[in-house]
Amino acid sequence: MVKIRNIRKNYAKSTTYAVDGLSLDLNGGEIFGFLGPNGAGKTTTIKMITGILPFEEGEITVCGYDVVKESLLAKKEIGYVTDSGVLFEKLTGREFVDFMADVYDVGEERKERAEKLLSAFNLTSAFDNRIETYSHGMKQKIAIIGALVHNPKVLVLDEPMVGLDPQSAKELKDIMRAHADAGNVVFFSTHVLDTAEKICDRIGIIIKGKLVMTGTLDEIRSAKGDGSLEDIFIAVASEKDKAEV
Amino acid sequence: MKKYLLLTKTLLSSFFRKTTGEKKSVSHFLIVGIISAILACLGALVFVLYGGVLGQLGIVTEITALIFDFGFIAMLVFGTIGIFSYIYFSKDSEFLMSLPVSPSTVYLSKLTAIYVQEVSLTAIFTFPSILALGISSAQPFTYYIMLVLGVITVPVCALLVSSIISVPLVYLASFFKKKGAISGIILIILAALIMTVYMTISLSRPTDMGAINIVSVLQTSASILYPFYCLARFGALMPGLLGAYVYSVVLDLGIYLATIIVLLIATIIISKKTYAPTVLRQSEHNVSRSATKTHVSSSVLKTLMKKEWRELYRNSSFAFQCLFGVVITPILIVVYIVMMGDAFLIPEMQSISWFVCWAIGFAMLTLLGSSINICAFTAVSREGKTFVYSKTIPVPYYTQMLAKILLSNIIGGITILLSVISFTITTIAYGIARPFLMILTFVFSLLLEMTLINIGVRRDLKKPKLNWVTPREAVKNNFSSLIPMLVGMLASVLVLGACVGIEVWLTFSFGVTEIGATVTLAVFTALAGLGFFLSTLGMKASAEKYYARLTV
Ligand SMILES: Nc1ncnc2c1ncn2[C@@H]1O[C@H](COP(=O)(O)OP(=O)(O)OP(=O)(O)O)[C@@H](O)[C@H]1O
Ligand SMILES: [Mg+2]
Repeated sequence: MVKIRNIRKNYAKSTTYAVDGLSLDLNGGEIFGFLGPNGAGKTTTIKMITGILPFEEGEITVCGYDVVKESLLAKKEIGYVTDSGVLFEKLTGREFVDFMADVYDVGEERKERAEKLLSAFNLTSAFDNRIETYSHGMKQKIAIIGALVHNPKVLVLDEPMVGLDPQSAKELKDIMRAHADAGNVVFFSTHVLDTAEKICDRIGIIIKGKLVMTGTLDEIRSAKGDGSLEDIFIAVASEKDKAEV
Repeated sequence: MKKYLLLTKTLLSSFFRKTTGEKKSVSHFLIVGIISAILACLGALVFVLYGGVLGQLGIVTEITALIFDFGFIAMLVFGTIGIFSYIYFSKDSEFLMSLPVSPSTVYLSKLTAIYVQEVSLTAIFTFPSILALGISSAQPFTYYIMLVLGVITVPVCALLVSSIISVPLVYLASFFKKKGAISGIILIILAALIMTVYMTISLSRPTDMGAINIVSVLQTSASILYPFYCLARFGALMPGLLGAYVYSVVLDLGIYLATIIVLLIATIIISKKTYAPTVLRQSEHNVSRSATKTHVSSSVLKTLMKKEWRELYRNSSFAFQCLFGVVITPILIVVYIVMMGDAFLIPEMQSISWFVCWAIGFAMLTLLGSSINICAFTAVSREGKTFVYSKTIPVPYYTQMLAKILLSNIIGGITILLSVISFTITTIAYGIARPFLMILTFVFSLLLEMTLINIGVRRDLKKPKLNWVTPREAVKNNFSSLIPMLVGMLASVLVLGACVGIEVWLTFSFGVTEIGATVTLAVFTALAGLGFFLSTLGMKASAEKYYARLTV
């Protein structure tokens, strides 16, 4: 459903690439976990998939639409939650959700979808308050609801678990699972390896802009020995560091 | 004192510092400088030409005082806006409160920072004009001492006065949910009150028609803001309260300086008592505990406009800066005309009073109403970090721009409409209405405004300031956004100059009255229409291109 071919990105024409020759296919029905150390290029990749960041080389298609040439059609299929928690703080939660629904052409089904998500996240009572009055986790939740209200084929989340309480994190995992099971793609970056281990169908590890490993958990284990994901991740990361020297 | 200096320095350097990665744009700086210089020189030119005549009439002192009055009022307006957005509705307040510095020190530091940010605005008009007036009417050396003293301290007075009147305003506004909008409404009421009081006083004054002449009229006008009259009398070495004029001049200077000191002490005392509690109150929001509303669906363009409007008026700082013009322009038109009102009663003035009145109103309408449209000039910058949504939503960028342009036009249109209405009512009240000219004035200022909105939104899209923390940064120190405003002001001054010139020329050379200005304005209205058409094409052509260049 999402095809990434050989994309490269260097910020401000610097000599090192933030993302360097990355290729990846994401299929309907799967949750893909995107792992990597800080500054590895996860957010950069996500911003390219969502059509925010222009790139010089390579090609990305979402549901058959090229994100550069047919960006509006591609964007319509994507739901995106930023890592920076940027929101229209002056709107109420409901106004924000209505805004997102209008922009993505969602009809009256918004009510049902929003209500389901609101009660899952326990946010119903604050729905008519301004977002600036929300706590960090509540902001994260309303951003997720805004991204899901148009039932996107491709859901992209950048570190979505940050700041959520255990109960909400559990709800989010269930929502992600259900969304993938309905035939959609869920693509998210995270630093929480336990989460990745539990819910991901496939995992990719990016280090210094290069995708060094992809596969199901079993595939990765069989290639790298039977440790926990944490052991594998740390082994891969330090290996890469040594290779650089 | 040490902390005051430290804090002021920090505030100023963080204000004037560019965001990392932003290039210093020399060309913008140059354009802004050149246009400001032209505007300043145009003002000075009048006094170079007529300074000698004014000297013979013996009204240089009064004119000087009135120029200071003008600077004072301008600073009062900008200062109040600054105090609201930079002191009361600023996001760094809580952080500053956590510092081991007394709240009144914080307050004075911020006030100083606003002064430094705004003082050039008034100085650019007052300094060259008064200088030109002084040289051409051969004033004594004290006049130039007064010039420097006045240019520096008159804005101080204005800022201190606005800091005092802001206290009750903010206090009242804090009771409401929509603080920004409410502050605006309270200001209207305040201004209306002052107007009523002033009009009652001036109407109840016994007027002996025969005795009215230009000198006494100007003396009355100059006495309204008395301390500046004192300052001007000191500069021109004119006798004032006391007969023996050395004492009189010293007394005048004393009165002026005492005014500043009294205002300063009052500000310090008031800020000590009120600043901390008032500011903390701003960050508290009313929160309801249950959700009762229902979903509302709209078309894409409409939902974008709704979002724009809500983000604007619910942010006190943006609301104040973008909506202030709607309130202040209609009021200032009336204030200025009424201030000149007595002059219209002078027999020699009667045949031209309609024209003088129109020129004042037209200047106010185009300079404040059409040229200053903060809503358009910051259309993209206001988004700040939320610009990322513009990039992710599946809506063509031109539609997103259209929402911004339409909203700016609605706000600007209301400003112009209200201003023209108040203008018309005032001229009718003085019995000097000229309906056809008024309709042309309305159309011209509307078209000028619409053109400037297109230019302004396009400029802001080309070089927006998205990386801001406090909303004020999105508006201030944004040279790019100053250019359309200055272009508008320049256009207004030139059009007014052409209208006045041609009217005067036709009147004196051919005895043809009441035609020149109307015809000239009609021509410029057509030109403004053309300008609007071209700027719309320009907007269409470049929106997507500029947008594609922006990254987040
Ligand atoms: N706006 C920018 N300008 C220049 N360089 C940038 C910019 N944003 C990111 N980078 C660089 O690109 C590289 C990848 O950054 P990216 O944000 O994609 O990392 P990440 O994997 O998301 O890290 P984290 O886990 O900390 O979120 C880093 O080296 C970073 O310094
Ligand atoms: Mg990141």
